[in-house]
Amino acid sequence: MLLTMVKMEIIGSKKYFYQVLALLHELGTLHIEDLSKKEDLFLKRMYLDEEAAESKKDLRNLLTRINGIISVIEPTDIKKFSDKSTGHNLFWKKNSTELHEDANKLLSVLEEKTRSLASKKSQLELELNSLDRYQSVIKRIYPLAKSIVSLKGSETVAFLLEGDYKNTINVLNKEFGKITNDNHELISTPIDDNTTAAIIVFNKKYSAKIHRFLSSKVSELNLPTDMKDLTIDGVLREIDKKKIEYPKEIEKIQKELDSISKERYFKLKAISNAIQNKVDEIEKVSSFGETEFTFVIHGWLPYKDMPNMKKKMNENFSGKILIRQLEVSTEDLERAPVVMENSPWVKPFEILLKVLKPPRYGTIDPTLFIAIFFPIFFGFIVGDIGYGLIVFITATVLLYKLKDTQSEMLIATARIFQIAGISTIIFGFFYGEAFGTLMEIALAKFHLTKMFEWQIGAIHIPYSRDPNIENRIVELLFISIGVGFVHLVTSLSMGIVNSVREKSRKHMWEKLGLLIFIVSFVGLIIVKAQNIPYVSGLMTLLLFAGLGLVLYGGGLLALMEDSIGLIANLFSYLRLFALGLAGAILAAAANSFVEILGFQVGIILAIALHAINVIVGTFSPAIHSIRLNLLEGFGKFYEEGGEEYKPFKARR
Amino acid sequence: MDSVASWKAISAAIAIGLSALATAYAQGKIGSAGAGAIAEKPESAGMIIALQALPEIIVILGFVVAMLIVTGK
Repeated sequence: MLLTMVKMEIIGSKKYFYQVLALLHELGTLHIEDLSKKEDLFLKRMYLDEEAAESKKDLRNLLTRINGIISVIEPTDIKKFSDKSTGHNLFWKKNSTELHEDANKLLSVLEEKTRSLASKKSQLELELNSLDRYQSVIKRIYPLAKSIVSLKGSETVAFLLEGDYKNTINVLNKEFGKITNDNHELISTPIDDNTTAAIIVFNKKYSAKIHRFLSSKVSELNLPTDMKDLTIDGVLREIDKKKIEYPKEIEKIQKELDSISKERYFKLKAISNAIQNKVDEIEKVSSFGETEFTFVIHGWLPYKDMPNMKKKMNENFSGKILIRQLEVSTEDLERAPVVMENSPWVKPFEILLKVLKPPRYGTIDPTLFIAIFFPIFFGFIVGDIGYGLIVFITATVLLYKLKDTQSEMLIATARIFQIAGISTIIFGFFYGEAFGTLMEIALAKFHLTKMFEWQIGAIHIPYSRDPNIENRIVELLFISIGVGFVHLVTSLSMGIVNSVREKSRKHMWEKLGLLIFIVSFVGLIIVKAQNIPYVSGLMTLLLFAGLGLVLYGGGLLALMEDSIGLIANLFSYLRLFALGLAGAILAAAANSFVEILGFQVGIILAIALHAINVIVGTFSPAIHSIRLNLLEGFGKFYEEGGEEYKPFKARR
Repeated sequence: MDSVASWKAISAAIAIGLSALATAYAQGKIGSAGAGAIAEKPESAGMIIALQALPEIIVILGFVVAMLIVTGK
């Protein structure tokens, strides 16, 4: 549900301003309203004084330097660090000057050391990467180089031709000939599909011209400085030596960085967060108002957090700060931030709402709606005990592996599929399916079929999705439409409630009209099909009454678009039946492989097809269940336009 | 095979064949546009993959119609 929000005003003497700001930051519940556009005779926008601006600049500079060190010593596996809270409480209460001093002390010890270690490590890694390339090229040109006779006064240059240029060796030969008056030797060999290596030997007097020509046309093979004077054999030996030494050096540097990380990482993180908090506080100043002697802060917070805020203000400032609840106008309500609070099994579905803007304040929280209908749709489509167990177990294992991560999205997704898995198992019992017809076959083999049969009214369970059963397909069709009808009626009812809350009468009549229309439309079909006397006249009357209300509430366009659209929406739920039947038939086909091809071959194909069906049968129903909720469902009641709740909260 | 059965088979084939073509066309368009969108904005990959899955209902419904034709009296 959406929490009730209250608008607060905090006024106090300017000498308490930064202390109040720090307290608000620590409490982390106030969504600050920007007062900069609300200037009046007495209230002006607050500006940063010179000292604060200078402090912000210095703090930002420190933050950049500290974050630079953090990026170098960031541990790959934080779980191995036992004490994550080291240093956090040391910096929490400190002011800008104290943070400045502490940060500078840390930087003086660590900055130079980590910078040089990181720089040396990346240099070694870069060289190590290029050594492989040199080695492969040199090994390929080695036979070439051996065939060249190096004369006194001659220079040898190796270069590479890549991509489209690898076939231009003849053209290059002609150009070299022009430069050296044909006093050169050029030989080449392919390195790989895309690269050709070549060696040119020429008189040293042409060196500058040749190098200038090469630099504009090709990639010259430039060896590291310490290898330039070595023979090809020497270069290869040196490369082998470095390929053994460099990884050891890199490991040694990494160990040193790891020990710095273990000792200092969380302290640096804590001071970085503390400095970032101070910067956030200073930057927030422009959202506040001021008079000559006082500061003014306006903000929103959940009603349940108001007593705590008042209590903390009084405790810290002994009544010197005025904090009061303001009356809210209709205009204010449009700007009120929205906070959702839901029970643990509903909360994961909040991530599905992230594709939309938050709902308007005062309207119904749609999370419960989607938390009920998504699992129903998913289970209705997949409806298989075996597949449901796989989905549930996979989601549970994923949750276990993710328990230490911060990824809310992944954890919520896993929880959603846990719930969807349970729904799938329940519907699996309803359809009598476990890996398709496997359960049916097994029960028949062991003469246990009667044990798993029930009769609930006119419905015989298991309610098999076998298309060969007479009228079964048509029944499933009507059941899908029935489920869709319930979904649409629920959403239209919620739409009526929202219209009443928003005091939008025309909207309310339109939604009521659509509700009466769809109920009477479906009623009329049932009445005609069942030949129920007398009622069809009443249904027709209601149908036209509904259309009349739609016309009154929404106009001609609403009458044409929304009423016809509603019928189309109803038939959109046929996808529940269609997807489900396709999945069931695929599962049955997988099981039939064993019968047709024999056990040994058939079982492998059956498992493969079931695996594909599980993957497709999880992804596709999820997409369509979400789509039915967000498009058909939400389209009838969801009012977008709320503001996201972003409390002024300190980082920890 | 009598003529009714053969007409059923042809009708079912047309139902699923044409809807499969329509789905393929739609998903091809979405896929190529989506590839371009992901190249520019990788974080949109999840949404693009979800959109890619939406047109498959066309072929599913075509399959259902084919089933209705084949299993109908």
